[in-house]
Amino acid sequence: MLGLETYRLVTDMNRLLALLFHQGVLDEQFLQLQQLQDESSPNFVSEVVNIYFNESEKLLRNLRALLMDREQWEYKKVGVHLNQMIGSSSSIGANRIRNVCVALRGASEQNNRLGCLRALDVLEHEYCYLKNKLHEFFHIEQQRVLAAGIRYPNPVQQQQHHQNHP
Amino acid sequence: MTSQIGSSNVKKIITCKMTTKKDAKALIVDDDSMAHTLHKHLLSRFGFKTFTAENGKQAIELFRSGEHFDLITMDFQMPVMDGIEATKTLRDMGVDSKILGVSASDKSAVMELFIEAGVDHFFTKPLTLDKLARFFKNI
Repeated sequence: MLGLETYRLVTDMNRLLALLFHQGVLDEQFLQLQQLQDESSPNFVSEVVNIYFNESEKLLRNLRALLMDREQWEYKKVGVHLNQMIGSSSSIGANRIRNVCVALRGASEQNNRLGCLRALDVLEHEYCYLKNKLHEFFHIEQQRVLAAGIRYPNPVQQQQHHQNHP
Repeated sequence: MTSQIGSSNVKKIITCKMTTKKDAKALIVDDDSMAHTLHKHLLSRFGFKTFTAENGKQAIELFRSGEHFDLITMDFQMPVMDGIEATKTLRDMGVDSKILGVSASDKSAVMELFIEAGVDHFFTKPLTLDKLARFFKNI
C-alpha cells in the first residue's frame, strides 16, 4: 500500500512538472538544478528556490516603489533590479518570469512608464503563480520522502529490536 | 519528461585539470546570495574549495591580503565595484588566476567589456555543469 502511495506521489510530482514545462513557466534549467541535488545536499533545490523567492520579493517591492514614484523616474535603478531578477530567474529555470522581466526592461529603456506598470502587474502575477506551484511541488516531495521512510525502516534498528525483545 | 525524483544522486566529483592538485580554490564574486549557493555547488562538483565575495572591492582586498585563488567567477553588475573594474585591477596587480566573467545580460557589449578587462572566458547566466566542463576541457 505504501509503495502505491509513493508511486502516486511521484506521478503527481511528474505531472505537475510536466504542466509547468508545457506552460513555459519552467525550462530545462530546473532539471539542471535537480541534477545537482545529491545525498550530501538532499534539499538543494528547495533551498535555492527559497533563496530565489526571498530575493525576488524584495526586488518586486523595490520595483513597485520605483515605478509608482511619479516625481522621479529612476530607470537606471529599475534596470539594476531587473538585471538581478533576470539572472536569478534564469538560474532556477523560471522562464516566463525571465521573459516578462526582459519585456519590462525594454519598456523601462524606452521611458514607457505605463508599459512598465502593466508589465510589473504581469510579473507579480507570474511570480505568485510560480511560487504557489513550486510550494505545491515541494509539499508533495516532502510527503513522498515521508512515505518512502515509513516503507523502508532501518534494518539495523529492526534487528536490535528483535534482539532486545525476543 | 521525468525529474530526478526517487533516484539517489551520489555526489560525483567531475575530474578537471585545475583540481588535480589538492586544495584548488575558487572565489565567487557576486552580490547575489543565490548565485553564491548555486556556483558553490557547481564548483564543488569539480573539486574546488569555494569562497565568496560580495563585490569587486572585497575580491581585491582578499588578494591584497595574500590570498590566492585558482579560479574566479566574476559577476558583471555589483555595488561598490563592478566586475569589469575588479577584473582590470586584478590583472594590473599581476593576478594570473583564471577569471570567468558572468552576467545575466546577453548583450555583446558586456562580453566585449569583460574580454577587454582580461577575463579568460565569458558566460551568460545561468552557469551550468556543461558550461564549466567545456571551459575546463579547453584550458
